[in-house]
Amino acid sequence: MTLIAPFEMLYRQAPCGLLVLTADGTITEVNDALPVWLDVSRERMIGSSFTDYLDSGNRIFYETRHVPLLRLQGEVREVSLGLTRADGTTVAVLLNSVTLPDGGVHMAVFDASVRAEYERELLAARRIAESSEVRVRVLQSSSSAFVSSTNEEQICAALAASANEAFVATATAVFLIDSDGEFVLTAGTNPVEGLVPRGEATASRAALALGATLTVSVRDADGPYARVAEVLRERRLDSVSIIPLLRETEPIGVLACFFARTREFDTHFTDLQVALSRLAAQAIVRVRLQHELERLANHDQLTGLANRSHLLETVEAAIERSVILGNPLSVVFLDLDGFKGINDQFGHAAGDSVLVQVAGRIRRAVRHEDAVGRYGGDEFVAVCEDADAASASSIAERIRNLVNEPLEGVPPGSLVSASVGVVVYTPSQSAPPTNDELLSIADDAMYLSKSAGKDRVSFLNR
Amino acid sequence: MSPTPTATDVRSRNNVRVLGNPVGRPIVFSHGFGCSQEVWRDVAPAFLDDFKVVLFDHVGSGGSDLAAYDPSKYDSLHGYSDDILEILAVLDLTDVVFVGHSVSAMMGVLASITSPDRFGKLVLVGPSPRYVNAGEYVGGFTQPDIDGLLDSLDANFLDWSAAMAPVIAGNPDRPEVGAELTGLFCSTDPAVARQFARVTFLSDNRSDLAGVTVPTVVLQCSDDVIAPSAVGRFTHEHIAGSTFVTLAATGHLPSLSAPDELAAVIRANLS
Repeated sequence: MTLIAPFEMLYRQAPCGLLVLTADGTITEVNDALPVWLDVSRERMIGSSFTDYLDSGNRIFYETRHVPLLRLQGEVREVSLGLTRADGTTVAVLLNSVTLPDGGVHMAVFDASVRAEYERELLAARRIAESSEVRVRVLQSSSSAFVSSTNEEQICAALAASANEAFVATATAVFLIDSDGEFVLTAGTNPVEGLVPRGEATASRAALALGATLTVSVRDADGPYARVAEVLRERRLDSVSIIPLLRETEPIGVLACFFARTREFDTHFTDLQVALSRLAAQAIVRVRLQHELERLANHDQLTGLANRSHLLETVEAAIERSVILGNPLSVVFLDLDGFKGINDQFGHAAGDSVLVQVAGRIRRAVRHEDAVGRYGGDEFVAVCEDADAASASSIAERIRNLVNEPLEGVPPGSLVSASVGVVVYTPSQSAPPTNDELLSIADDAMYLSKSAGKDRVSFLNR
Repeated sequence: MSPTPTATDVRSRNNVRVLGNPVGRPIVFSHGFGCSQEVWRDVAPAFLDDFKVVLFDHVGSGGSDLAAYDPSKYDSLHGYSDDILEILAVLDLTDVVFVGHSVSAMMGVLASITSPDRFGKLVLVGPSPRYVNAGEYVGGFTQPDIDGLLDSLDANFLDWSAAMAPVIAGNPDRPEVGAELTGLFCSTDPAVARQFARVTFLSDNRSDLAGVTVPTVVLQCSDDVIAPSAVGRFTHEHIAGSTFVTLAATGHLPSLSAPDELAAVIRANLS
């Protein structure tokens, strides 16, 4: 019977695997423990490569991470790996390695099955938690951004930012469809802009027609979006995913996410994209309704001009700005001459038509930035900021001349004219007028024109 | 487009080091996935006498500026290749010998296509234009293999911060498991490592190879399980006029396992 020295016993029957490897990873010595765990003979292990016992995923990690670290540091501890048994199952191990002066490696392998199983479960749970956390975070932050948005541009900007974060897109663009049916880039960046006129619009229209997400990649060179695929390639992009923004079933725009690398568009991706675009579309519809309601509340239904209450607000704000900026402010007040006759003679429809035509003419007569409103009946007001007496005079004269021109819908000869009053307010040390006061002075000026024979412009100062 | 970064920005962003002969031909070494410029420590000295040697870390690796890591930018190799071109631009280098290991080989391919005037030679060490098999093409790996790699990364970068921080925070004496792994050498941020792994192993640059006009040499290791010989040959066959050299070095890291041979072969291919 051979006596085995205690230290050799310890080596051979150690409660861990012990290996000696050459510099290129060939196993030259292994104790009894590891072959038992892996269910291979010790003789077979010697001469084989350590990487033979690693599956592909572990092998990539081992080669790209463990090997360089070991070479650079001379030692690596507690590397978590899976070793493959003869029957194909995996045993989780922790690995400690040190390099020897000749480049060889001493390695100790510890069974970490229980611990690794626990960690694997934690990891799986964490991945699920993280993935739903991202989803919840993106949806929460985007919906709160949508709620606090007061216009379409803000909503689209929030949508582009959220989509970029959620999908790690190379670029994100949000297009809204304007009144002519054209796609208008409202937020984000469009990396294929200008390369194909409307090339992206072609795909966007297809996505709208589909009513669902459409993806085009550089590999679609033979499909209906060949030009889009070509442009993606030119821009070093791999794919674009386009999802329609819908109001019920009516398209209002698209969200386009561009990717520089092949992506898997799985259900996680599409579900989140659908949820985001739905929230954004709802928000856009909401601000559009709000704007419409505001417009209705502030505007005269017949002429589309600002109504009296909105005019009062406009004048108030204009006075404030005038005081702050020190600019003169002119308010032009006009009352039609001869309107009552048209109403009585040709009926209210003809009267309404005259009012609409006059409203259009006043709008044309004033400067682009001037506000025009219908004060009541056949009275109109133009608010001209930063206009002194000279500019106000030319505006008022333009209005008077345009109103004088022949009208449609009434017999030739039944002319109307305008009695115009202008008040010019020049900011001074004394307290500024209220909006009512200023309008009342303009009204007085208008009456000066009336009493002096109509169809003329009169001035008063404040 | 983001504004062009300054020279200082680029140098600190990529931890750029310029060594060797200031008037020598520039040689730029670019590290692969999983490590940093440290992998060139035994190769670079062989070039110091007659080359201007440029070493750097990709953003997210080694001593790079982590704050510069933009997940959107670095979601494709183009983001990295743009950085390489910026390094060459701020150092005003032309006739560059670009030595790219592993995934850096494809970054060099992309950069040379964008700005061929900068480059004099591409040295691709263990290149792979695509790691995942596709139809007839054998890259050596399948999607589940890459998932396995991501599992390995997660198991080794014990970055439990998001979910486990409250639990761990209660135990200040807890030994930092894996601290050695992310210590001095090849330090990398776990989140960056995960995305870099995806970008590296899930990219497909096969169609870019035909666009290379810079003289190219493919250096293939024996028994490289990451970039097998067939993949190296594919790369060589699809880059017009390229040469193919098989190294005696085994494994995926000749810069550390056989630095002398690697340096000698690079030199031999530059004359």
